Amino acid sequence: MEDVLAHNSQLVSLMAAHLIASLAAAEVGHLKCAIMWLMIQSALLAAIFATVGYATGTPHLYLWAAVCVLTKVALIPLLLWHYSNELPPRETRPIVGLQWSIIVVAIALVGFYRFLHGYLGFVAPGAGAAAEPALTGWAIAFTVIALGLYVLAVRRDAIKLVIGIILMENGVHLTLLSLAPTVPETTIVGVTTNVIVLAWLLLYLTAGIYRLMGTTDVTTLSRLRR
Amino acid sequence: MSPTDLAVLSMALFVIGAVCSAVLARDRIRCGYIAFVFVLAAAAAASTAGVRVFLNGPAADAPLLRIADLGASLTVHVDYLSALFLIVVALIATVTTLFSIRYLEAHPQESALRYYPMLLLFFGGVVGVVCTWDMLFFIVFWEFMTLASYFLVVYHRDDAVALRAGLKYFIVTHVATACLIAAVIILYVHGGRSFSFEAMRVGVTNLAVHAPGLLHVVLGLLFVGFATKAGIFPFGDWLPDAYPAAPAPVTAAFSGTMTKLGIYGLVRVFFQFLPVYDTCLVWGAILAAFGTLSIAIGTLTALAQDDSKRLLSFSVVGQMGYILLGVGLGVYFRPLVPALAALAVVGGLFHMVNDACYKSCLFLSAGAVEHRTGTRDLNLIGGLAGLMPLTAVAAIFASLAISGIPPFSGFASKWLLYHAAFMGGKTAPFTLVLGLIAMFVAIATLALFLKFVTITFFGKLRTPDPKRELREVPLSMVLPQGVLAVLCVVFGVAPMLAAKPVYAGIAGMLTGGEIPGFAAVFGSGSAGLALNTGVGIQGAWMPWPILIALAATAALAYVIYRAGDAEVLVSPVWYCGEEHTDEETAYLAHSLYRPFKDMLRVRIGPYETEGIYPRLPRLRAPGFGWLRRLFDFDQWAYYPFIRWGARLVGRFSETHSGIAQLYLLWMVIGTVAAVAVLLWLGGS
Amino acid sequence: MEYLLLATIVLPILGAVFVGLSPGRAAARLALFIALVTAALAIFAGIGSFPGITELKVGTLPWMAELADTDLFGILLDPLSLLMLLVVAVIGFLVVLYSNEYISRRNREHPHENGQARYYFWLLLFVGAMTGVALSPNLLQLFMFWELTTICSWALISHTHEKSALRAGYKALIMTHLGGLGFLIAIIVLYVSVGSVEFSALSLASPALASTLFILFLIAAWAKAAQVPFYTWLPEAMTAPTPISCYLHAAAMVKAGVYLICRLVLANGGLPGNAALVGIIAALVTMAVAVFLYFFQTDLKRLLALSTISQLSYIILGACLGIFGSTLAYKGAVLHIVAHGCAKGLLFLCVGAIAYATGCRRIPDLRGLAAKMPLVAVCFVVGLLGVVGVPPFGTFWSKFYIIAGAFSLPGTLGPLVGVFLLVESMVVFAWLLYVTQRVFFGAASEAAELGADPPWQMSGSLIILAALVIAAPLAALVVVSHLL
Repeated sequence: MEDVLAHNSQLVSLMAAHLIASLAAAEVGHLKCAIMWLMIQSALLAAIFATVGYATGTPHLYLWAAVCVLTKVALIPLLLWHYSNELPPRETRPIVGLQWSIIVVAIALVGFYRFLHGYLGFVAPGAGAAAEPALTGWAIAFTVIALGLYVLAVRRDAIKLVIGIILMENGVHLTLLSLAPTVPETTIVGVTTNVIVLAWLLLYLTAGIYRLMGTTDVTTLSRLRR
Repeated sequence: MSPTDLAVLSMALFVIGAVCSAVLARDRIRCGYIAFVFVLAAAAAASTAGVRVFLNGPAADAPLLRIADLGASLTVHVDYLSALFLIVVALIATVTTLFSIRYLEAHPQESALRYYPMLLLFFGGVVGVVCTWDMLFFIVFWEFMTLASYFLVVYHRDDAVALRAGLKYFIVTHVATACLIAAVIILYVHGGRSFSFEAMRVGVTNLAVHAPGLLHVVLGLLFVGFATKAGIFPFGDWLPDAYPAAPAPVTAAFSGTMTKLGIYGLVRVFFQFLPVYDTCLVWGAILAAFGTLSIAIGTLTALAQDDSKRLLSFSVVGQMGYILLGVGLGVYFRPLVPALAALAVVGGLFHMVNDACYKSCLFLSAGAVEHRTGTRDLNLIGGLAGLMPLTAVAAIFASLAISGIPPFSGFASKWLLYHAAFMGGKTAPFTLVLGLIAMFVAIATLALFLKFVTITFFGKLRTPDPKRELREVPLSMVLPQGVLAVLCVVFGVAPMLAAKPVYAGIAGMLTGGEIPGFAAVFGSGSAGLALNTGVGIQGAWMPWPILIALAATAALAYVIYRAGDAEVLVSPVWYCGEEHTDEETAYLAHSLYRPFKDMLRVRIGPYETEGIYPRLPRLRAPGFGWLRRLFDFDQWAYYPFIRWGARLVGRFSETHSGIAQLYLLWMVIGTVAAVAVLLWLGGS
Repeated sequence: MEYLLLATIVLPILGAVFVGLSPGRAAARLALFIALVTAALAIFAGIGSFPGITELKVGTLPWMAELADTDLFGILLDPLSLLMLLVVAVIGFLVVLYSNEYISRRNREHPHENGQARYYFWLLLFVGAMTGVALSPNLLQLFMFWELTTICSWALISHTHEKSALRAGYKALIMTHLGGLGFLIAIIVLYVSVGSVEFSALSLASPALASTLFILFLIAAWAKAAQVPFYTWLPEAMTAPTPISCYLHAAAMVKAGVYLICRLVLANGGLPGNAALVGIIAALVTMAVAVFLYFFQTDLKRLLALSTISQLSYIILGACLGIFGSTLAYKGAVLHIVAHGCAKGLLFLCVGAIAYATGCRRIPDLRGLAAKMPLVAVCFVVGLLGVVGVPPFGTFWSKFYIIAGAFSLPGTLGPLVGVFLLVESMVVFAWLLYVTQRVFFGAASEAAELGADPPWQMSGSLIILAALVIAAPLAALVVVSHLL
């Protein structure tokens, strides 16, 4: 644990950057820019894995980082890029604006930070992750998940929804680092592959819907029933 | 072979005969002869069993089948009473089956398959009823007999009247059987959980000691059950409908066997099951009263009938009344004057034997007339004596017998009944009244049969279809009538022949010495009856002297007639100068006794009686709409509940707006709420 | 012998799968063969093991091992299950035989041959489920087969896929299943409180608990046997193909309900009287309601359904009288299962034959069928006499047992019940006889002109069943005397 503490400040900085990158990926209106931000967000995630792996001397975290780079930094943005070529460059106007997003992220960050420090025993009884950087990591991860959910709730654009889901997935990934750093590699491979398939399916559907209806606004999807 | 074996053999022959005739039913004449052969064999077995019993006494019985759970066993036992009935049944079965063979030619559209097998099964059931010694199997045979007879009643299955009559018959008698079942089960419970006749007697005895009220209920149920079958008014209301509906030989068989079994049941109950108690007084009086009511209403209603078989059917009700009167008086006098009891019940059962002969004969005669003329309506026929002389003679003999004209059989038995009633008047005056009513109604019987005989056989020849060839019926139809007509005379001139077995039948059921010996009551002479109820000879019936006197006076009258050599003048009727055809002036059946009929017709508002026979107004069943709505749980309970549930679920389904963001919002709210609840629980 | 008995469950269920995979007519032939073998096995093994009690433990499920000391699942054959088994297997075979002709284009009521594989699959599964019910050694296994019969009846009632049929099937499923919840709750409570799911576990519970549980079982039986207040599904289920109605009424489904009650009463001496009283009163009310509804029914098949409802009340009534100590009434109830099964089966098959030939089931439209279809007329009359209890036909004996048993009880309840039963029998007799005369006698109506006796598969089933109406109750009398 001392090793981790030694790299505390680096980790916290990385996590903060990760959060900011997430916010940017969620908020940037130009879709290709948002995809780039997502790529950066994923790269930061890989960096966090690698740093923790280096600090604690657990080599398999390098593998995590490698898988993360392969799938989240390379494959998913590639898929997104490919499909967004067929779609309008700017996203459909969201339901609420930037100011609300910042407020939500701030409230979530503060709330989760306090919540995790107050109720840790309740959330993860017996977990060894009570140490400081891990707790902050958790708070960041939950905030990213909340951000993903928020994106799903307030965005109309299908590409933005996919980005929201991937944000949530990345948040989950980050919680795994704190919660279960010893999970076998195969699980990680499974989790990430799952995300690729999910993203691909969603994008495929989005492209189909755009071709059919000329919009990527998901609030109009109920018309599909007719 | 013992009488028991012979009785079983007889039943088996009836059943086998039924199967054989069913297999060979295609050719109706051949089927008839096969059935007749089997009936003849079965009847021979049954009557042999009966005669054996009278000669050698009843044999020990052996149960053929046991139902241990119920305490019931199929026990065939022929005692004196069974023997008496067996002989009667054998006789009637033979003659009616013989009569049927040619009779069915008149109904080519109906299959013989529904006739002979059913007829034979019916007789098998009758033999079973008479021979079984166990009340459960008694009921089984009883219902079996009813079942077979129902199919015979609805033999003309396209005839709506017959169907209606059959339905009424089966339902009414089935309800009567339910009464029997209820009574028998009560006796079973109180008689040591067994259905044997001994246990029934024990049950009655126990009830008499511990629950006299229940005993009256039981006896009432048994009385209703048996009186319904016997056609006693008002329980036998089905009879005047069902008898005319059935083919004539079947009607003859019914009147000769099935109706008589009602009396058989009553005699078993009130003489064998019921010991001598005061209860006898109550039920004896009730039986006698119902008997007299039946005599009066049955016979007087018959007067107004123009359908030959319906007329005879109402007269069955009357004649069954005479028999019930005898039985009732017998029951009544059991605790009081045993000799009178013997006199009355022997009179009743003797009348029953006679009734089996003459009433079956009359039904067969009516059937023979119907066979040739094609109608039963007395208004359409007349003067058939010249064309059908043998049928006419048989019908006249039977009519004289039923009217109680000496020296025919009906006189002997009625005479015994009157004696019992009048001599009983000293002990119980009401019997005198009953006897007087019975005696005066006997005159109506004479009037009734004068109408039947004279309209049918005398006067000008009338026929509904002049093209139809009218001649005497074939031998196989004459012979049965002849046998029965001869018996009407035989039992009249030799009453001992019937009275002795009847007495033995009664005495065999009673505990020893309850009634005085035969010779003490009826005299020991073989020529006639000399009645003595303990105070010396009170009356005698010597047929031969009367017969000789009658013959002498008849001969004298004939001699005077010939000696006078008076000229017979035939002149046309003078209608005060007006011209009338024969058709207009014919005196038809419905013209007879017109003032009498008008006098007896009662009309109260919409209700009108047929003669004095009450006719129930047709009831309109209420619709019970509210009850139907109440029982329709679907409409007021289940469906409203389901609709309410569906509406509730519908509210939820409205939240499925198709906007994914809203679903997500719900999920987030749900998660937050769940976490909050968990925290609240975990915190506390 | 035990394994032959086991085969009577396994064979039809496995056979159902094969039949379900076979095409059209082949399915019918194969189903006929399997049903025949099942019936033969049931007769051979059942009679071979009579009058002893045969038991076989087959196995248990790993997570249920704690429920019983020995293996949970198996078979149990005693005189009661023997009777049930024979009724189920033999009538099952006859129904399959009958269906071979009934499901055809020649049928004027349902002229199509579609879905034969589906039909015979469910029918055989039904037979297997019912033999399973009959041979179950404990409540849990009984419950499993019980629910299987519910599913089979749902599928078969809805067979034609007409809207009314789907609705009726769904209604039957919902109502019997809701009643079945009573069964499930009772089993769970029973296991929790006395630690056993044996039939005899009920008498181990305290009297108050035992009567509550018995009433829960009664609710399940009421729903299954279409008693008040759950009776409404049965008349509506008459939209099913007639052989199915026959099987539902004569041997399966509704009989499962009354079998449960008979089984519980047999296994548990000294059940509390107040629970039995509930059963008796419900049975009497059911009879009264059913008989009342007779008079307004114009559909021949629905009339028979109402008759079934009132006849099943006799069985529940007899069993409940058995709790009061009247073994006679109890034996009568068991006898009634057989007697009523044969007679009612015959009546339904006759109505099926009428509908097959004329395409009509409405009582007012049918007249004078006897001249056109004499065999069906004879069989119908035999069935009628069997149902209403005219000696020497079937139900006379069972009704007599029940009535005599009722009268034998001390106190006023028994005799009152006995009188009620007598009156009910009379009314039913009168009305059914009236209807029979209307339908079969008199001049032929327009619909009846089409009538003709059915082909041999249907006639054969009718004749066999008619013989059984007379013979089966007499044989069952012998078996019944070995009960208790």
